[in-house]
Formats: sequence, structure tokens, C-alpha cells
Amino acid sequence: MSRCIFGLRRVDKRSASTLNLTVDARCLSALLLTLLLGGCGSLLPPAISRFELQTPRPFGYLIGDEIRHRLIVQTRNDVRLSLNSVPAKGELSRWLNLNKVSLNHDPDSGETVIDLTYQVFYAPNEVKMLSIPGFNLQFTQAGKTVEQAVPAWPFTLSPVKELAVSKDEQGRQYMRPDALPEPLPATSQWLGFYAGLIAAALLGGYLSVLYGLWPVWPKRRIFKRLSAKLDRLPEPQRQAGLTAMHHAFNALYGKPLFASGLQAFFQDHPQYRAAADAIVWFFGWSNRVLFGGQAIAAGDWEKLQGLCRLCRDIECGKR
Amino acid sequence: MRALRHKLIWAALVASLLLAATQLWSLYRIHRENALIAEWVAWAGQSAAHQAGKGGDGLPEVSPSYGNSPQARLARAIYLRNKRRYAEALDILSLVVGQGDSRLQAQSRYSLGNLYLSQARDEVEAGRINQAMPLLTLAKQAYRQALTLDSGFWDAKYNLELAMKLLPEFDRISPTEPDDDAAKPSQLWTTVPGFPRGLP
Repeated sequence: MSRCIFGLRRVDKRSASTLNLTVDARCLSALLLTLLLGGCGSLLPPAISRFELQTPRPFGYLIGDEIRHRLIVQTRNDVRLSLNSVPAKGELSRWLNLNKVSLNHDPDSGETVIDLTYQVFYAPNEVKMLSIPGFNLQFTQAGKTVEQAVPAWPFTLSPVKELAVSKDEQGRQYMRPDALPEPLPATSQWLGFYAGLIAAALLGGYLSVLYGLWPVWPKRRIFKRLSAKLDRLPEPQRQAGLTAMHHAFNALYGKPLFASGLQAFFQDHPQYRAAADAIVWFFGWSNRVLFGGQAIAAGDWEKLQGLCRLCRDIECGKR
Repeated sequence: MRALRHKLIWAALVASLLLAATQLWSLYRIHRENALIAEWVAWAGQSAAHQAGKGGDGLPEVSPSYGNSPQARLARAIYLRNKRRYAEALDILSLVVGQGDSRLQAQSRYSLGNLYLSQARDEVEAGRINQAMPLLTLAKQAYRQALTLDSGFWDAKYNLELAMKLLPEFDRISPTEPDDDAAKPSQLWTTVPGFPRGLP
């Protein structure tokens, strides 16, 4: 590759250039890899990308007041909140209670919302500054622990009563009287009563229509009136009972009903199929009595009354 | 099918009538309880007025049989407390506490606090400070429970502050900052145990 000319070493430019290029390519690859790795690392978002402590006004509180804090923490999806680091419900100090702790985590967005409701039981003599203590929220990420400090929150508390001792009529230190109990509410009972009453009225009205208690619906009372009439009929006038029975069927059918038209009648009034045998018997029997001169036997009369009661039951909807 | 429907209509009618009848009975009972509550509240007011006029003597001796609802019992407990029949009032309140909705529970705990506070005031007036201290502690506890249930209970706030002024709590609120309120002795309680009464 190199030759000695006049004691000097000459370097072949072409081969030297190739060598330099090889070295440069290796350095460049290493550099690019380093840059790529570094770039990837910087592209990953931090474990906790957002932390927000939402607080109410920091003044004007009284003994027994509740103070609500909301913590919003935005984390990567692989970061988990350690529940032990969230303050537990209960008495935090002599004058401060943590009444409610609610935690909502949205796994899709990685947002965790923690609602804390404190209650203050401190009786200051004058306006006093107090502080809700801070704490650290801990998160775990691939076995590592990440912490987020929640700062203490100062606020001022005022007294409810005056410092001077006020006396009541008896000369004793004034205290607020008992809270008198309110009368028992009766709204649901009134509602239940009216609902029962209205339902009973509606059902009773419907049943009264079925039972033919209303003269305005005469078709609902055909066999009711007939039944009463048959019961009152003396023995010599029983033929009139048969005629009345035919009139009842005619009134129900809307036109004269004969034995030949019974099938059409049953098609129009299918509920009377339950009494089909008795009705067919009646038409045959009445034909024999009215036109054949057959006497009305006591058993046949009872059968007629039974048919009337059966039709009455069908009229009412009982059958 | 028609027969079944007919029977169902009758059953529904009977059920509706039963519902109306039971609700009517409940309304009657509520009316009776409310009348009782109003009566005891009126008696409590009369006895309080009587106390104001005659220094607690000659209270009307009425002991009606009380109702079973927590409200009626609470009204009777208030009446008894106003008559200074603390033991009986406490017995009734112990039955009421924990019953009813959160509003009624807050009221019953507040009444319990008032009962202990009244007893403590009586003990203070009689010069029995040692007997008054646990009563005040109990009163504060009851008021705190009432406020936990209803943080907007103004009367409970007032009376809790009164009880805390009568018996201050002495620990410091911050380890770094001295609690000047706690360091001050109460104006009323100059002889609270914990302060030296004298040295030889």
C-alpha cells in the first residue's frame, strides 16, 4: 500500500481514504445509536405528568365546617397509586377529622382523582390560622417508587360566639336550646292511600259494569233482570218465563234467534259456547212446550232457571 | 280464561282495598304520634317558661305513656331534660340515638350533648367541678357526632364552642407553634384540675 521514495513514506491516497471512511462509518453508527437511545428516553413522558390540588377559599371557616380538597394526578398507564399513601378516614388530630375519602382512577387516561373531606373541630378565641397537614402520595412503577408531595394547606378559622359570656334569663351561661323534632312525614302514606282508593274505585266501577249495576248499559243486565223475573213468576205463568227467555236471547243477539241460527249466535258470542248444550236443549224444549202443548215439568223449570243463572254468570264474565 | 280474569279483578280490588285500609291505619298512627309530639313540645316549652319564672319549682307532673317513634321519644326526652329529669331523659335518648334518618340522628346527638351540657352547668353551679368535667367531655363528643352528621348544624356549632370554652383542650395544634388558646385558662374555670390549688 505504501512505498518509500527518497526516504519518505508515501501513503496511498486511495487506500487511506477508504480506511478513513470505514472508521467514520463506525463512529457515525455508534453516534446515531447513542442519539437514538437518548432520544427514545426523552420521548417517554414522566411518571407523573400533572399534579393539581384544588382547594376552596382559605378563610371564613367555623367550628364543625367541612373542607373539601381534590387531588388530580395524571400518570402514565403503567404507574400505580399506592393506596397506603392516601390518608385514611378518621381522626387526624385533636381538631381535624377526615370524614370522606373517595378515589377514582381512569385507566384509559391515567388520571386519578382523590376527593378528601376534612372537618374542623377547633374553637378559636379569635381568627386563627391553622393548617391541614401535607402528605406524600406514593406511586409504583416497575418496582420503583415515585413520590408526589401534597403540600400543607393553611386556612383561617373564626369563632362562632362572642368572647364575652352571655347569660340567659336565669343568669346561666347562654346555650342554644334543643332542636325540636319535626312531625312524622305522612306523604308516602297519603300517596299509598290515594293509590289504593283510586285503584279500588276503578276496579269496583268496572266490576259494577260487569254485574249490570248501571241501567245505562242494558245489555249487561239482560239475564240479571230475567233471573229475578223467573224467580218471581208464579207456577201458572211459567210459559211467560219461556217467552222472556227467548226475548233475552233476542235482545242479546240483536235480532230474533231461532234454533237454526244458534251456530251464528255462538260465533257472535263465543263466551256462550260454555252453555251451548243447555241453550240447544232450551230451544228444543220451548218448541215442544209452546207449539207442541207439552206441560212444563218441575225439573225442566229448574233446568231453565239453571240456564238463566249460567247465562247470567257468562254475562258477568264469571265464566 | 274469562273466569281467571274475573277472579284476578276481584283479587286486585281486594288488594287495593287492603292497601287503602293499611295506609289509612298508618295515617291514623302518624296523626296520633304527631299529636303526642306536639303535646310534649308544648309541655317542654311550658316547663321551660315555668323554670324561668319560678326557678324550676312547681313543674307540671305529667307522665304520659310515650309513643314508639324516635321523634316522639326525642320530644319526650327534651321535655324531661327541661324538667331536669336527666336520668330519664338519658334513658330515652339512648334508645333514640342511631335511629331514623341522618337529620334525626344529628338532632338526637345534639339533644344528648345539650343534656350533658345542662348537667355540667348544674354541677358547676353546685361547685362540683370534677363531676362536671366528664360530662363536658361527653357533651363535646355528642356535638361532634352531630356535626359529623350535619356540618351545617348551627346550634351544635355554638354549643360545641361553648363546651370547648368551658373545658379547653390543652394539647398543641402544631409541634412548632405554641397554642395560645390552649395555654389560656378559661374565664369560668379558674379552678379546673390541672392547675395547682395552692402549695404548702
